[in-house]
Amino acid sequence: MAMVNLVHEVLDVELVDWRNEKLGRVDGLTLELRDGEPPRVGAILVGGTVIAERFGHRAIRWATLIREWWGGGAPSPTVIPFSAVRTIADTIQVELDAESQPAMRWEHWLRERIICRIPGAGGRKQPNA
Amino acid sequence: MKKAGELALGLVTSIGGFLEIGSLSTSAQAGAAFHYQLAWAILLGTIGLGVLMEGAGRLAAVSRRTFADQLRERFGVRFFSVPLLAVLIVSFLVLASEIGGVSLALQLVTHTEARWWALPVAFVAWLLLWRHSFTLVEQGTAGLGLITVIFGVAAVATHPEWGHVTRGLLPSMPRHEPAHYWYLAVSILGAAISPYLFIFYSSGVIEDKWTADDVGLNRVVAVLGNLFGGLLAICVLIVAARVFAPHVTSVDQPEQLPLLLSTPFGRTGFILFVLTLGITCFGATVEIALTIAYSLAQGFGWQWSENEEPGCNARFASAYSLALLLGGGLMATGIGVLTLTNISMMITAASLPLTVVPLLVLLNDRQVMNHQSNGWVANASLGAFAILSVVLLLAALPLQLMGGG
Repeated sequence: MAMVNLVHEVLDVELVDWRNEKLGRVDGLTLELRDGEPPRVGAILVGGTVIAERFGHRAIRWATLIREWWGGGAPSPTVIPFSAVRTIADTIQVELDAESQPAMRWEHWLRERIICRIPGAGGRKQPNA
Repeated sequence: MKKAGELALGLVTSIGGFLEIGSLSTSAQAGAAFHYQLAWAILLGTIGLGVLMEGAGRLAAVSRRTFADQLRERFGVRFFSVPLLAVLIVSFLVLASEIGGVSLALQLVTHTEARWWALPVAFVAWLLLWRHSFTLVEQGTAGLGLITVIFGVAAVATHPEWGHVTRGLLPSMPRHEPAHYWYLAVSILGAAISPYLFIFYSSGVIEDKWTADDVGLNRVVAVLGNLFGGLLAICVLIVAARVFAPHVTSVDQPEQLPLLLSTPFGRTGFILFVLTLGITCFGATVEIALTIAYSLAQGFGWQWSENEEPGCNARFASAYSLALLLGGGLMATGIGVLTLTNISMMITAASLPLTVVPLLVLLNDRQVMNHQSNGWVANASLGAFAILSVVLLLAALPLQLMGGG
């Protein structure tokens, strides 16, 4: 049975979807606590607020302020169940479609509101295509 | 054709290190104030950038991932944020200086003040990236950049005392103005070795799909590229010593720079200087704007490529667009090009330990590097530069206060 070091080989590693499209990095990991059974790795978290949590309380407060200023509402990091992981190597591949993940919100927002309104942007990918 | 592309990457990186506004102006200042005595600083910068480029390229070729990518993964997001922030600040200041360099070239020809050219220059650079024509810019800069060889011709034409030049290649204590001497030595190193260069070079290695088999090629490209750039930067210093010293000891007006070539070659020299300045600084502008976007994209796992349409990589495209807009905006405020350049070079020198030390650690990680991890030669030279970079960090601020301006 192969052993994988969560901190060195999973945390901060690049995530790709089933088509090898980049979908972010492993910004956080969760343990799932189960009644009467030992805990197990629950999910991979991706998102700015997850990164902020790793910097401590002040960073979380700043992240929250920025979200409120932007009108973002409650933080909603991307939660990828560990069962969706297909391979762990140089990158971590998950059985998901990057385009439909909340981690891509900024990418979509910038693509639709700004980048694709400038002539010559081209290459527009349809979400959920 | 593939080989030409690989050599172009090395040449462009080295032009960004040695022949853009930072190196041109610091080498010219050093030649005017101290003759050939600071040639050693350029030589040291050449060896330093060569060793660091070779290391960053080998890391990328063997691990198939870029330096910024490895930094985040190996050291975690908290540590990563420090070099990232340093690279972003330093690169932004250097970007604004390079936009200033192109604007200055335009000012010399049109007599319209440089500040008015800053935003148009930034726009043209942006348009080329937007039309994903970076390969064109890269090969154009590498090809047209060969025009810089004119500094070699000028160095010979001005009949320097070669014996004195050779003596300048060994460090020596200054006979006058020690603070200014060391200030210029640190600026020269900062101008030659910028952290954006290794991030740019390692991203180029990935975009050009080099593998562990290309480690030898990487070595050749890093050595050749740096010999080319470093030797020509020494030629700039030689020409400056011949043209300016002993009557003019400080080069603080942009109008003085074209004298480097117009003194030996007249009107043709003036035109060649303007072309050299314009081409090399424009190449560096595009390179740095891309590097800012590369560092963010690789650090946070965004899609990135210089060869895809902006709509596919919206965050990546937004990053270089914003960098160019802000860099052009900073120059458009009317800040002096040479003032900003000098400040940027000092801050660059001070920021080096933040990227050089982690690079050294990564190159010794056998898990990352397989059998291609550092041998003792690479470790000794990189280690020496890591120590040197810390000295630069400690020396930069006092020298800026005592010897700057």
